[in-house]
Amino acid sequence: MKTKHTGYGTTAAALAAVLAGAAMTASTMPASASTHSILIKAVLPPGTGAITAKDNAGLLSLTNAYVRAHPGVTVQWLPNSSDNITTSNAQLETEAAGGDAPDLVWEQYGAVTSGELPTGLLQNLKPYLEKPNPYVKGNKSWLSLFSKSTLPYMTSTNGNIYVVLGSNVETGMFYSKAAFAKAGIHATPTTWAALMADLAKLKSAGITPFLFADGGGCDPSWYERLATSSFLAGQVNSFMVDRAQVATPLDLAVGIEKGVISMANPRYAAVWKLLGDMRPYFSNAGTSYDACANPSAVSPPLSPEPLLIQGKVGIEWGGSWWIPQLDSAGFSGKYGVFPEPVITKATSPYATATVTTGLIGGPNGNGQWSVTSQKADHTMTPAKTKVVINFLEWLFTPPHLGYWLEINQGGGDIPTEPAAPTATVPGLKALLPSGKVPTVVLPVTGGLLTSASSTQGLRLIQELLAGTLTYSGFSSQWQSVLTTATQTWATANHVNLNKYK
Amino acid sequence: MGYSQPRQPEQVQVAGTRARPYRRALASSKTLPDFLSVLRRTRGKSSLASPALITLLLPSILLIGVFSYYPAVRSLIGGFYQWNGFSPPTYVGLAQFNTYFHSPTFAPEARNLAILVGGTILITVIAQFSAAEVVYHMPRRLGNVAKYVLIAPIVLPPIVVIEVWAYLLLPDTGLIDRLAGALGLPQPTWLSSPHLALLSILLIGFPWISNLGFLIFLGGLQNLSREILEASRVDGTGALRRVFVIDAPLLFPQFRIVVILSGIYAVQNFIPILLLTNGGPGTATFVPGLDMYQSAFQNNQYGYGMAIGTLLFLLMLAFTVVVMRALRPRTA
Repeated sequence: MKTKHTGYGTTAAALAAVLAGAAMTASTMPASASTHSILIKAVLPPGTGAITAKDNAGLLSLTNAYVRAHPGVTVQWLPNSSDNITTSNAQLETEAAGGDAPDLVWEQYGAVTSGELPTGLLQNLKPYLEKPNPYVKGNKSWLSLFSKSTLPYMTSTNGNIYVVLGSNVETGMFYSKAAFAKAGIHATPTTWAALMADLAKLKSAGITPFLFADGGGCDPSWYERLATSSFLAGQVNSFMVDRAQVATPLDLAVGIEKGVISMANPRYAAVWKLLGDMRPYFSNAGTSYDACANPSAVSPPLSPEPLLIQGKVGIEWGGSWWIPQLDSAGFSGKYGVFPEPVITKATSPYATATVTTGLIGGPNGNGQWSVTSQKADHTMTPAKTKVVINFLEWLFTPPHLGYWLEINQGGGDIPTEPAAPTATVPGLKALLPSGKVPTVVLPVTGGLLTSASSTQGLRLIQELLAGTLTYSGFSSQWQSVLTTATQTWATANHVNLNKYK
Repeated sequence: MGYSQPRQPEQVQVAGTRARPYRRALASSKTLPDFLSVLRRTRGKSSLASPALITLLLPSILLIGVFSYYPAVRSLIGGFYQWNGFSPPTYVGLAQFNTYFHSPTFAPEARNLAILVGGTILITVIAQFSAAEVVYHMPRRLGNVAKYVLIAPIVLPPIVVIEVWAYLLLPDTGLIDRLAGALGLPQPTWLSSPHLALLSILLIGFPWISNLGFLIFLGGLQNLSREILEASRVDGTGALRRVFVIDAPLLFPQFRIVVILSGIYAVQNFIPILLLTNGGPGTATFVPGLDMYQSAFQNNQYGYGMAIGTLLFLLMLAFTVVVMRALRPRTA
């Protein structure tokens, strides 16, 4: 995933908070924990190595403090070598089939809230979240500690919560200052039309204008999310059944069923026409890169960051975690970052000019955990569940969350609890939304409905951008993916979509 | 010394009598049931009940049964069930086979597989047979050295070979592109171009010699009848003509096994594709094996994955039968 860097500015203060928290434990420990020895098997965030690795130093010290304060409780952190949620969940399901799943598992909201994971594998955490977090003085509901924009991501269609989310990321366009200077670009674009004009200038200057990294799901799903939310901004109310900030899988399925999210709707079709229009400016090596790949990857998909550093590409689409990575690579001051430009009518007659800053950002893979059921994990007795939840509450106490996130990602990740301390990372502020974020329509390529549709969608985008599929061919196949994914999701979740027509 | 005590005739006879039935049975059987059947005929039932024989065979049979036959049979059955790996499976008959045949990726998968199988067989047979001929005709000592040098890379783990080729083929930073750039030549995106990606996958392992097929061909050449070779020499047959009119026809059994093994290898070996292109760009390198893997282990469609696996098994079976018949030795 993402790499580490330095920046332990708040470590001392956070450690003090940890100790203060530890002092509270006598009154917050579940009764069962004091009488029985309990082993909690927990899965680490992916790509962070063992619990003793530098990235996990914060998590380790918090765990040690917890274990010291809770005699009889042991926590065994399991390294997570998976590089995506689908392979991770495949392993989880195999373990769960034998009743041998870990207690605290790394999850991602898409796989959980879509209902893609088999029913009964994870526990509903909502009853615990509605109670006070015992480690936060005066708290009446643990849920109230999370930012309101995070809650829709945690909530499944049935209203239950099967995953707690620890951190957010933001996205933005990273550019090489040298490339911009060579192309005669003196200001960053604020509209999509200006972006297209700058891409043309970069191309004229002999620089590959843009690397759309479609070897992984990040750039494609970001684009789909940005453009769909923007073009359909005036139509979202017709399918947002749950009236939430972020479209749930049910909303998306209803939107598809109603024909709003359909290639027959010119506003939705404009999403893909615009991407096709950008093709002349894209690097033709895009499928070998993934914006979410580790910069040290040596085989595809590679991180596009080195190409920006080497001046081979003008603009790349990355995330807030890139800032510390680029800085630690010695590129500090040689790059800039700007939020995704607004799509206006100068680009498409169907544009709504919606400000999309902060629209793509959201929960990432760091600090996302679920608790397994007794069916999936035979050791998960009700008494043990209480202890596991108590441990989660400890980790999600705002000072603790901010503390380990800062060490783990050098401040590139933003805690989901506003009370948690956030690291000051130069450039991050430009990516944060300043006003209300529009309603977010989550993408098909993000695996919201099914992971099969995500894979198929990504292949179609690659073919469209490689020129091996015409727009009309893409259009009919994309529509087929939308329809099939909706039917599969509705069947798997026992949802009758006819009642929403 | 000068004098050696002759062995007792009885001892020789006893030892020979004990060993012979097993050797005969082994020589005349191709499978375990054949072996047991021949042994039963020659030795009677009492020897079969030998605890030592049963003890020796049982662990192997059990392990092969558990780790090879059970998953294979389970997979054949699983194709008829929709199963996400956790919830109880649901019987769906042939629906998943039908879905696969009608999926938009079926045609490109079939096309890519045909290219990979055909390409792999062609380059394997040509490269390994040519290398075996060259080594066979070298002076003995030099030939031995060449043999070991050519076959030694077989010990490299396949993942290492793939990673080396990843480094060679990477866009912008790969060795091949760098060399091309230094020479002022175009720098193609080997793994990202829909027209080059499959070719790049076939390139992996170049010059394709360090493999079992090379040893099979070399062994075949070394066992050719000296009389025939001598006769061809007396008749003044040239080296090239000898390869085509004597060596190749006499090595039909070797060609048959190499074609079958390399064909099956091409069908099964989707690991380079998984690691380097993930089937892309689009469907340019997408093959049934990768579809099977992604369906089962990424999309939780285990039943669908097993259905694809069953089809692949049938394909390989049919391929083997066809090759066995087409390349059977034709003697006067």
